[in-house]
Amino acid sequence: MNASRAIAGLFALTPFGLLLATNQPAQKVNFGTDIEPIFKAHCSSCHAGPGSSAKLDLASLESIQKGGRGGKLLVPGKPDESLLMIRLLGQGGMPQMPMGFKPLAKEELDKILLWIEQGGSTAGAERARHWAYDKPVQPTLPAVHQASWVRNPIDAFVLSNLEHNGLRPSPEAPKEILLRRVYLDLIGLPPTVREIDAFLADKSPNAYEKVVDRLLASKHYGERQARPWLDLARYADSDGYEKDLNRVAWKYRDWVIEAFNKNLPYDQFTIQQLAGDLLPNPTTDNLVATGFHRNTMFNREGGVDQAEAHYNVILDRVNTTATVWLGSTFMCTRCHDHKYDPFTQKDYFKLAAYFSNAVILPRGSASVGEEKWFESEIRIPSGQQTAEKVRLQQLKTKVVQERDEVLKGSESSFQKWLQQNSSDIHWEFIKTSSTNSSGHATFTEQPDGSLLVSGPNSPKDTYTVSGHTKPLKATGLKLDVLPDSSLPNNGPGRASNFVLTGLSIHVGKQEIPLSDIRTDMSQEGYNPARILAHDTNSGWAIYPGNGKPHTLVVTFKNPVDVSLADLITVRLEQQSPWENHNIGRLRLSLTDDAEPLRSAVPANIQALLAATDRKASGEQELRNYFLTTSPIFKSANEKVKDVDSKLAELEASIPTALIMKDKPTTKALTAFVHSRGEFLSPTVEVTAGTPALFGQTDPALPSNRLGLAKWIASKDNPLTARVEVNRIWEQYFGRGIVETCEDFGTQGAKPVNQPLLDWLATEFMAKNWDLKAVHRMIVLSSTYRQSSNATLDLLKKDPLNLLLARGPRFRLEAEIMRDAVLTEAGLLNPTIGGPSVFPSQPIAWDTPYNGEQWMTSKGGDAYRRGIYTFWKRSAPYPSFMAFDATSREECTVRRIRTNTPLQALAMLNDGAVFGAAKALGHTMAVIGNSDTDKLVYGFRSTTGRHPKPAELSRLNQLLTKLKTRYAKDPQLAKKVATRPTEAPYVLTANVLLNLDEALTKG
Amino acid sequence: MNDNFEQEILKQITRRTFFKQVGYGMGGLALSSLMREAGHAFQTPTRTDPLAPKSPHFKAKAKNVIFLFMAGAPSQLDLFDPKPTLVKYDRQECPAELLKGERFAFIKGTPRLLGSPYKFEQVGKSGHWVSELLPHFKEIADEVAVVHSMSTTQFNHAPAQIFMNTGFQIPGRPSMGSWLTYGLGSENKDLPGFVVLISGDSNPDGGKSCWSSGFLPTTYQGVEFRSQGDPVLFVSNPDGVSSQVRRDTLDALHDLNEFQLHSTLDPEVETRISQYELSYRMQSSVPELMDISKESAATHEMYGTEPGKKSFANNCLLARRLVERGTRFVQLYHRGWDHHGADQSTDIKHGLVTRCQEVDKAAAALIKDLKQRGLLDETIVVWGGEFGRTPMNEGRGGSPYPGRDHHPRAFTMWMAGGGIKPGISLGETDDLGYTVTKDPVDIHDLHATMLHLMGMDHLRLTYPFQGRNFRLTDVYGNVVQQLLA
Repeated sequence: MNASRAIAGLFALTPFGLLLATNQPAQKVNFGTDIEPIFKAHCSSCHAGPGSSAKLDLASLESIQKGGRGGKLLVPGKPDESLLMIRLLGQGGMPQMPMGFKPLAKEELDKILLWIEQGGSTAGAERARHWAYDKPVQPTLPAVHQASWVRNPIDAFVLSNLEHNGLRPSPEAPKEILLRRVYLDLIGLPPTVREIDAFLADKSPNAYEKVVDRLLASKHYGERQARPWLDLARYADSDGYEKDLNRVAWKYRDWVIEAFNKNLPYDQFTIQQLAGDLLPNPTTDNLVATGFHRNTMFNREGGVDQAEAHYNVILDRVNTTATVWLGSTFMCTRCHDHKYDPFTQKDYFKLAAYFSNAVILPRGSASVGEEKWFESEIRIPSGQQTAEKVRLQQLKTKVVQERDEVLKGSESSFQKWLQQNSSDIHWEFIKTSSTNSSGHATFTEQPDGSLLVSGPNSPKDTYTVSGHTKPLKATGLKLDVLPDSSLPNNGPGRASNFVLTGLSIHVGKQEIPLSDIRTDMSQEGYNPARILAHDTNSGWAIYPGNGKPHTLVVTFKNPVDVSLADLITVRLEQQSPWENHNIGRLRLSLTDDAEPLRSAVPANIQALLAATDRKASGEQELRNYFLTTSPIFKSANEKVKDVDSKLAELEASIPTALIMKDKPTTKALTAFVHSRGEFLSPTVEVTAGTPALFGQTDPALPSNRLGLAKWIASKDNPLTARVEVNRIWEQYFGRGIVETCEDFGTQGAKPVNQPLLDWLATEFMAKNWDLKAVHRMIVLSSTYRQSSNATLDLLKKDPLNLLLARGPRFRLEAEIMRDAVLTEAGLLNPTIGGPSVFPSQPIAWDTPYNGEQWMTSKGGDAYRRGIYTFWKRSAPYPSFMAFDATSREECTVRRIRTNTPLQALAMLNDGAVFGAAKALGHTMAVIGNSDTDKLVYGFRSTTGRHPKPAELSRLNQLLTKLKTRYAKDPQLAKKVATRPTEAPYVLTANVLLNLDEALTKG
Repeated sequence: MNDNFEQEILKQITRRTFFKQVGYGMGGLALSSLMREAGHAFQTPTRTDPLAPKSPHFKAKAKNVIFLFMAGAPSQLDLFDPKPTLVKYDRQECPAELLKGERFAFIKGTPRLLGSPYKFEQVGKSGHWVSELLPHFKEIADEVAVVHSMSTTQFNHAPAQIFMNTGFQIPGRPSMGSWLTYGLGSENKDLPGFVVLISGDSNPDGGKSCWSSGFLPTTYQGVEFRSQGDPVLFVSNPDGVSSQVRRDTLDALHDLNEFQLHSTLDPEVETRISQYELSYRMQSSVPELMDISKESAATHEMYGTEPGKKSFANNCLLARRLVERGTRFVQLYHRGWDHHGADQSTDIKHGLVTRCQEVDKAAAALIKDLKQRGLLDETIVVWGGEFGRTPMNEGRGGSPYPGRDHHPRAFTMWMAGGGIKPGISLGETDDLGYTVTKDPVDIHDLHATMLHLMGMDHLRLTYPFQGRNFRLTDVYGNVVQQLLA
């Protein structure tokens, strides 16, 4: 078979090929622009760079001419004899290339064939530098025929492309349609019927401009623009991975909204998010902005290697930075040099080095086997919280003064206490006569009078120990928990630790009222005083004091006479959620001492008391301890304690912001290159730097994140502006000028209209990165204002609407869909910002680890905009997921738009949407005089326009039918509406909310 | 021209309304057919149902997969891989050469070896080894291929589960069920093509990433059928909406959307019309599927099922009903195999026993049931967890309860049906069960083999994303020839 005969017709133009006429090659084939891209697309995964299969390296011109192990690749002028052609066609009894993948398209084979026929030359062929890596130059405006259509430069570029392809723009969309479109685009909410009427009534020539400027100034503008940015920032309210604990990070979300609202220039927007902490004298706002990179997932699963976890965090930051600002697929270079784009693995880890210097802190106490660490955070009080704090601090000064008054003259009592404490309080052991365990554990009395627990260790257990003592006037009970070698880690708990959640004492049948509890030490997060309230979520635990004896003393409200005959019964409850956390060895005793609490003295105080030679600091520590614990000062101390606890409570309610913070260093930041990107295989060390492709960075820039940020946000960066204006374009038209918004590399889509892209990018920078100016220019263009209705001719010539001979038409995003439904039903609570909310949902998750739950919001918070819905990575809001939201586990540039039956079910039956139908149905039932009025109102609410006669008549038909159905079954109607006569309107509203037009921006 | 077109469509709609009065059943009018009838020789851009069945790369052995995922990772050393040497050196210190350079999730210091306390026997003609914890396994042993030489790279639950499901340890890649429905579509147009059923303590650690569609369209994402409430979210009508009322509203919606289709000529409208009709069909097909009460007493006896209960057994029966109806990929998660021995409920003497009792009978019943219905030949059944467990006792915090830490280097899975060679045993581990010594199989190989049986070449099932073609097997994977019948 002859290769050239196998291919009929050269350069056959597909209908779509027409569209890219400007990019069509001339008859002369150019290696750099025509052939190399084909090699890269189909061959480079095996045949590029060192280690190429069959020693054929198609990335090297020399190797292309020389060939690989199979011999020479090209016979100039003779495609039939060229190994390249033979292998690509699968001739000569050898497998067809590319092996295991689809054969090349005919057009591609045609090009290669023609290239070889023309001599197969690579010599002298200018290897095209990829367009996106050169700085954009502002193109001149193209001349167009239909000049009257051009409102601004965008139109000139679009129209030029249309005319080139023999297309004409569509007529302007009707006013009502345009209004709904621009509302949804600029503020993400549909206009109300009243707003539509006002616009229709405004006959001034600049009525539309006025609306645009009003919407750009609306506070909802920031919410709408933050929507896609939060996908880029992978913002979520939980950590992700296995535990997926909640985090308080919403301050960052509010920062983004506010930044858009105040139109922070994009370069500042960029620098603050990447390196706000490194700016000179950073403001709180600057710090909150750095939450961008604190949104990475964080694995708190037990047994995680901390260094590896942090390595993954750093790599996520590199990948995300490159995707968001450079539109580059840097993650490829984690494992090896980029196969297609001029980036190396070294470039990758040089970027990683910028992120390698974070401050890492241990977090509180770690439970067994769980590493806990975190990066920096700050607390940001509201104005009210700050005021409350001031008030409490003033109050504290007052009560401390009051206490100090009481304390005056305390020196003598202190000295007395010191004396007393040098001698032990006398405790009388309770001699055990009977024991019981609700979990069937057994008790064995030890020589020292203590009880050792063995046998079944139930998840929860309550011990009851009874016995007698010598007669005494008892003032308190002491519980000693003791280590034992039979217990895990020597106990004293049966899980090494234990949690005592409740305690009661009977003498005879009389329950003894208890007063105070004190322990020698207690685990952070536990409050032994709560034992008196039998609080199963608190109590007494002793981590990290495992393996040592500990003491709890409880005092009686009034002294109790205990005789020899009295049976003393002590109940010890261990009912915490921590299973098997029961006491392993214990001893009980009574005292008649006036101050029994003195026995529960922390080990350090005990040591100080026992020391013969105390330093002044030791003396002071003892004095502090005495003053805060002695009953003499109880009331005064309690007032101070009360204020302290209110302060602590306030402190805990102040929201955090997760921020970036680096260790101070004078050394260059470095990172190791990792072979194949694997954590365990570090190779050479590299210093922080930007990718080599872009040349030397300005030496004046600091070599830290701030330097990186400034380099990214510089007007010299060829990518930053293009990537951002392209994303903005996608928001409006459903597709970027470069369709692959996340990839401007050689594997990404070619720009449909590069002059337009470059004009927008250069204009953006010339206007000092003014975002609102870009948005304004787009929505004011004739291009944007076109009707989105297609014609058969347009569908044939440009089915995907790449050239924009018609307006955009596509389904709303998940969150905006919710906002639209709530607005149309008149339910939306327009409050901006604040903690995330929990609207009703069918699956309420809870976390097994710490009892976090989906607590459905009440009142107005149930009707907030979608952007405020709590984003749990492992259980994102189900109706958002049905509409293509992502879990926010990683940066998402484009959400895929699907059209599924699950979406239909959600819109028809989800309680939230059906609730909106009830509200809209009710409004329809009470508004207007006729069913026509009601239907027109409902239709306008959900679609933004008046219905056509055919639509109105079909709706009337439905309403009539529903009235008949519900009239026959009032019980059924009652389930839908309080007034059964409203039921037909509710179901009609259900239809109106589900209209394709209601779900779509058109 | 446009006016004529409008006339034509109105005529069509009127005609259809007439048909509806005669009897229901005429589907929506396709844009393309409307256009043809209106005299335009024109095809709409190709937009078929993304779940329509597609041809495989080559003739497939199997049509469906049921993956019984034992989340938490069962102990191969106490179930399928007997190690007399380990028993002999029970509670002795672990040889130092095994520990050099190793990372463990929880083990600290020098651990002691832990022999299995269970008796093993060889069962069936195949002579598969199995411990006394799985008494029902012998009933299906000769249908099953046991792989003793599995290994993975991840030693924590979430990443390992995500790796087992997506071929990569970090969330964001499509799961195997998504790849298969993307590649092959689904045979049932009234049910999702990829269904997830969950039983056990809690959800799997990897969360929804385990059945995520990653960068594939979300149509291919696994749909979780829940055992409480609506099995599929929002499948029930709200209170007060009878099925007649629903039909009335959908009829109106259909007609109104068709007006919209006519004025916009947007193919998405056409898709939306058909998806609303499918959602209506699902409202009856899903409850019908989930209702196991009409299964025979013998079936309930065999599986140990009780209608209305959340159990692994019920899910096994549902899995059979799903593949019967043409669902492409059914994945069962049974959580709670993480037997570290921190306390009694998580040790290998108590906790492990409970888990085995929960799955043994039902898993065996599933194989037998598929076989008796002639479905086993076309259904691959896979059983296993995300990694194995250590030959050493963990002794966390000095715990007296025997338990094993996470072990990625060697573990056992079994497969049956759908072109798997029955009765064979593949791979070996060393005397302590620490490393694979013969015929290693990694996760990518497992994926490549499953795809192969489904008629898909793992090298060719690709999706372009961020500048390159991605595969389930990343850049790895070999079909394990020994496993093929």
